[in-house]
Amino acid sequence: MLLTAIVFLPLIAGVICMLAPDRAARWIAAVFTGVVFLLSLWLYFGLVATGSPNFGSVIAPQWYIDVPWINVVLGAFHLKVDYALGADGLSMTMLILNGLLSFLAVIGSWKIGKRPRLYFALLLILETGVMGVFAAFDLFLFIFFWEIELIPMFLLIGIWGGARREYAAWKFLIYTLVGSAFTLAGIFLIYFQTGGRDASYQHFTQTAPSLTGSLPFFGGSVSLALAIFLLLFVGFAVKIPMWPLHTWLPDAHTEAPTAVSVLLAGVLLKMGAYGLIRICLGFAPHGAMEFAPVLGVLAAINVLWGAGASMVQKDMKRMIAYSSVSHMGYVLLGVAAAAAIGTANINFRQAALTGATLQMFTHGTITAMLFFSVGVLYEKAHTRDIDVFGGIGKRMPMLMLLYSVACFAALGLPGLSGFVAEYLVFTGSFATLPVATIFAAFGVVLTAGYLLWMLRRSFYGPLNMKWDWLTDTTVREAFPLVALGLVILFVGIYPQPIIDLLTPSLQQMVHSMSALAIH
Amino acid sequence: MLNLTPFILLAPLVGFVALGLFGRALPRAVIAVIGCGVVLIGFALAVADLISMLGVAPAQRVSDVTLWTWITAGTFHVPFGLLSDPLSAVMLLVVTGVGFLIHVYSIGYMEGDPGFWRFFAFLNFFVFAMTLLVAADNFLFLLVGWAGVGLASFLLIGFWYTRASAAAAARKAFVVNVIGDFGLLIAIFLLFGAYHGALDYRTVLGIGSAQAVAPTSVAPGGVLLAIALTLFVAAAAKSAQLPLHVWLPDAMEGPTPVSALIHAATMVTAGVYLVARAHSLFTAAPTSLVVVAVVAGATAFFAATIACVQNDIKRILAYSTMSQLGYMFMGEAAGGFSSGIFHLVTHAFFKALLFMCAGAVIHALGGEQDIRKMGGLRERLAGTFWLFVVSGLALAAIFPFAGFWSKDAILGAILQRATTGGAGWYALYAVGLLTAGLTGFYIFRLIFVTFFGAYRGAPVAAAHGGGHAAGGRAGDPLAGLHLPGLALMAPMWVLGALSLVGGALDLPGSQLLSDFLAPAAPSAIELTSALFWVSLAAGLICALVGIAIAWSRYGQGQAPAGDEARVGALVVFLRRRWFVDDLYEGAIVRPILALSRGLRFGVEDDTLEAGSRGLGDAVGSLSAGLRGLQTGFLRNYTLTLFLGAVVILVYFIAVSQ
Repeated sequence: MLLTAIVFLPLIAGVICMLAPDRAARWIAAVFTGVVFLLSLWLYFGLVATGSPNFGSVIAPQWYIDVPWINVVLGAFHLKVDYALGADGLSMTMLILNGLLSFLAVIGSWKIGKRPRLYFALLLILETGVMGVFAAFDLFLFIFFWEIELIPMFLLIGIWGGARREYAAWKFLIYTLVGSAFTLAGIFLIYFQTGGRDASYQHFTQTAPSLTGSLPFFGGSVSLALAIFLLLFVGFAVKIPMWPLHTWLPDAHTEAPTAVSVLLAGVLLKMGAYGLIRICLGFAPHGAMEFAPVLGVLAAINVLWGAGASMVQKDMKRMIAYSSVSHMGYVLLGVAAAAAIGTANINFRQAALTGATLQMFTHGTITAMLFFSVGVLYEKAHTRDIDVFGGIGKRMPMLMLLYSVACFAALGLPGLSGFVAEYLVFTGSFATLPVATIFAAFGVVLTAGYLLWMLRRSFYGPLNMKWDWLTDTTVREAFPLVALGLVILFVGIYPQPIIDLLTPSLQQMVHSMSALAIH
Repeated sequence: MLNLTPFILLAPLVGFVALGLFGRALPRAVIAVIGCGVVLIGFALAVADLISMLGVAPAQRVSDVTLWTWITAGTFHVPFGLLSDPLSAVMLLVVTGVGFLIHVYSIGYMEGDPGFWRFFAFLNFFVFAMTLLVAADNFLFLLVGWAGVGLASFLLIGFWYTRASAAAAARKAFVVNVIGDFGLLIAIFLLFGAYHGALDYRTVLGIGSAQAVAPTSVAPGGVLLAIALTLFVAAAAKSAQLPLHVWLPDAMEGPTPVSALIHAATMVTAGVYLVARAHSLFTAAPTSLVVVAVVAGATAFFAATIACVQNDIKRILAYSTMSQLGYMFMGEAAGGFSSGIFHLVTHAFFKALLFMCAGAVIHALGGEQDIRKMGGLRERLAGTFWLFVVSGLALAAIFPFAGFWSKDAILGAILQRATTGGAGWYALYAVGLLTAGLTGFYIFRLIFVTFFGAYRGAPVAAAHGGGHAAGGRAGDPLAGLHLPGLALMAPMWVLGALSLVGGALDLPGSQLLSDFLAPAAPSAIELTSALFWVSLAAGLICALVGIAIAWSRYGQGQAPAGDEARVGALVVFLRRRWFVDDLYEGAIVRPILALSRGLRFGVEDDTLEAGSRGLGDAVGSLSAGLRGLQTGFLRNYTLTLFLGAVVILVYFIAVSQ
C-alpha cells in the first residue's frame, strides 16, 4: 500500500492541480510532493523502526504488493503483466532521491508564471512515472512507467523551455523512444526465453542468468545472454547517457527550466543507471560479463569526453550538463568492474557496485544543487554566460558559498559525498580495469579545472559593475540548496547508512555473478 | 602512553565550525580568542602527548586508536584511526606550535579586514586538515587531510577573492594540488591491490607492528616503484617540486600570514612528511629515491636562481621555500629521513619568521611588496630588521643559527651517500653547495635592498586612525609608516629565538631529534663523523661567499635595477622562470582546450549529431505542420494524445501476437 501511495499520490495531486485555481496549484504540489517525500522516507525508517532492519534484495523485496493485472493467452502466446511493486535497497535509495528532488523542484519552481496549473500537474505526473520505474517489480510494468515518464518531460521542456525548446524536446523524445524500442525488444526476448509466463523480477533473477545458447546474427552468431544484455542496454545507455548517445542531454538541459533540469539530471538519468544495474546486470549477468571490458572503455570515454566538453562551454548550464555525462561515467565504470571477468576477489566487485549505486544517489543530489544554483542566478540575471559575469560573489556571498560547496562536492573533495562514491568505484575497478580507472580518475583533475575556472570567471575577481544590482539568495531560493548541501555533507562524513541500505541488494547480485564466474 | 590526538583534531574543528556559523556576528576580540585559543589547546595537548611519549621506551612509542569505521562495503573496511608516534608528534608540534604563533600574528595583520572572522575560520580549518594529514593512521585519511589542506589553501589564497590575480592563483593552486591528489589516489589503488585491501600504516608500513612485512615480499619491484613514484607525484605537487611547482609563487596572492603558515611552515612540507612516513616503501624501490634526488636537486637549484632576480619580497621567499623543500627531499633521497624532518622543523621556524618580517614591512609601507621601492628601513623598523637578519642567517645556514645545523645535516647525508653511491651523488652534493651559495646571495640581496641605503618609494600614507603612525619630520616620506604592534612582534620574537637556537634540537653529539625520530624516520649519517665536519665547513663557506657577493652588489643599498641590465639575457631567462610557466600554457593547457573544442564542436557536432539532426529536422517540420492545423490547441492536447498512445501500446501488447 505504501508504495502504491507513493507512486499514485502525485498523479492524484496532478489531477487536483489541473482543477484548482492557478494560485493554489503550487501549494497543492508542494504539500503533495512533501507528503510523498515523507512517505518515501518511511520506506527506510519504517524498516529501521522494526529494530533489525532487513532492506531486502530483489528476491525478498520489502513493502511488496503483487496484483494480477493483464493475463492474455492466445495459443502459445501468453502475456502476463502483474501490478507488482516492491522496494529493496537499490530502489529505496532512488525512491527517496526522487521524493526529495521532486519536492525541492516544486519549491524551486515557485515563481513559474506561465500556466502554473499545467506545469505543476506535469511535474507531479513525472514524479509518478519515475516512482513507478523504481518501484516496479514486473518488467512490463517497468517499461510502462518508463514510457509514461516521457510525456510530462517532453511537455515540460517543450512548453516552459528556452528559445530552442521544441528542438530540444523532440530530440529528447526521439532519442529516448528509439532507445526504449530496443529495450522493449530485449524485454520480449528475455521474457520468452525464460518461459514466457512470468515477468516478475524474482522470476528473472532465478531463471535468466542460467540462459545459454546463441542467436544467429548476420551470418554469425551472438550469445543469447549478450544479445539480451545489449538490447536492454540500448535504452538505458541513451538515458544514462553513455557516449556516443549523449548528445540529447546538453540540449535538453540548456532549454529546460531549472526545476526540470534538476529532475532530468537528478533522477531521470538514474533511471538508465538503475535499469543497467537492476535489469541488465541482474538478469543478464553473462552478457554483462562479456561486455564489461567494452563498457569499461566506454566509461572512461564518458568521463573524459564529458569533462573535456565541459571545459569549453560558455553556458553554465551546458557545462553542468556535460559534467553529468562525465560523472555518470563513474557509474558505468563501477558496473563494468562489478561485471568484469578475472577478479577472484568478490570484494572488489562489491566495492565497485556499491560505489556505482552510491554515485547514482550522490550525483543526483550534487547535480541538483548545481542546477539550482545556476537557476537562482539565471532567474535574477537572465543569462548563464560564464564570461559576462565577474566578481558577483561580492553581491551574492551566500550563493557563492553554496555554489562552491556543490562544485567541491562534484569534484570529489573528501568529506563530501562525491568522494565516497568515486573512491569506492575506483578502488573496486582498479584491480580489474586499471587503465580505464586511471583515465577515469584523471577526470577528477579536469573536473576541478573546469568547475573552479567557472567559479573564478563568474564569482571571484573584481566585480563587473554591470552586475552591481544583483541581490543575494532569498530564503526560498536558498532552501533547496541548503537542504541538498546538508545531505551531501552528511553522506560524505557518514555514508554507512546508505551503504548498509544498498548492501543486501548488491550482495545478492554480486554473489550470483561470482558464482557464474567460477563455472 | 597518552594519545590525545583526537582532541588535537577536535579543537580546531570546533573553532572552524563556531567561527563559520557565528563568526560574522561576533566581536573581533572574541573571534581572535576562539581562533587562537583552539590552536593553543591543540598545542598544549600535543605537548602532553610528547611528554607522555618520552616516558616510555623508544620501541613502544606508538599508539594507534581506531575511532570508528567509516565505510564497510562487504568485507571491505575503512576504519578512521589516529596514530601517535615520534614522527606525527613532531609534525603536530610544528603545526600547532608555529600555527598558534601565526594565528596571533594574524590578529594584528588582519586587524582592519572586513573578513576577519572568515579568515580565522579558514585558518582553523586548515589546522584541522593539517593535523588530520599528519595524524591519520591510514593512507585514505591521509588523502582526506591532503585534499582538505588543498581546500584550505584554495580558500586562503583566494581570500581576497575580488582581486583577479588572487582568484586565478587560488584556482591554479587547487588544480595542481588535485594532480597531486590524483597521484596519491593511484598510489592508494596500487597499495590496496598489493596489500589485499589494507591501507593502514600498521600493515603497509609496519608501524607499531611487531612483525613488519618487507614490501619486497608483498609486491614485485615494478609495482613498488610505481607506488613510490605516484606517492612522490603527490609529494611534489604539495611541496612545489618540479614540474608541479608553478602554483606556489602565485600563491603569494594570499594574505601574508597564510604564506607564512601554509606556504612556508606547514602545508608545503606535507610532501616531505609523506616521504619520511612511507620511507620503507621508498627504500624498497631504490630507483624511486634516485628520482627524488634528481627532482629535488633540480628544484633546489632552479628555485634559488629565480629567487636571485625577483623583486617581489614575498615571491623571493616563495622561491626560497621551494628551494629549501628541495633540500629536504635531497636529504631524504640520500637516506637521511630524519635530516629532512629536522630541516623541516627549523625551516618552519625561520621561514615563518621571514614571512612575518616581510609582512611587517608590507604592513608598514601600506601594502608595498616591491623591494625596489623600499630601502633604508633599517632604523625605522629596527626590530623587524634584526629579526629579518636572524632569520636570514638561519636560512643562509650560518653558524650557529638553526638552519646551519639542519641544512648541513642534509649535505652531510648526501656526502655520506656519495661515498658509497657514486658520481651522481657527488653531483647532487655539488648542487647542494652551489644552492647554499645562491641562498646566501638572494636572501641578503633582499635584506640589503630592503633595509639599507635610502628609501626609494613613494611617501607612505598615514595610518587610518593614526594610532600606529611613527610621526617624525616634515617631508619625511616614511612619516606615515605603520609600525608593527605587539600582536605582530611577539610571535616574531618567539620565532626569532627559535631560529637562533633551534639547531640545538639535533647538534652533532647530542642528536636529540634523530634519536627520537629513529623508530619512525631513520637517519643516514653519524653526525660526529669527520666527513660531517668537512661538509659543515664547505657549506658554511659557500653561504658566506654568497652573502659577500650580495654585499658587494647591494650592500650600499643600491636598487637592483641598474646592474641587472648588463646581464640581460640571463636575467630575462630567470625572470620568466626558465619559461616553465609559458611551456605549460603552450604545451598542456592550450592543447587540452583545443582538443576538447575539436572533440566537442568538430566530432560531436558534425558526426554524432548529424543523424539526430536530420531526424530532428524532419520531426520539427512535422510538428510545425501539426501546429499549423491546430494552432493553440496542440500543447493542451498532446498530453491526452500521448497518454492515449501508451494505452494503445498496452492494448497492442495485450492482444496482438
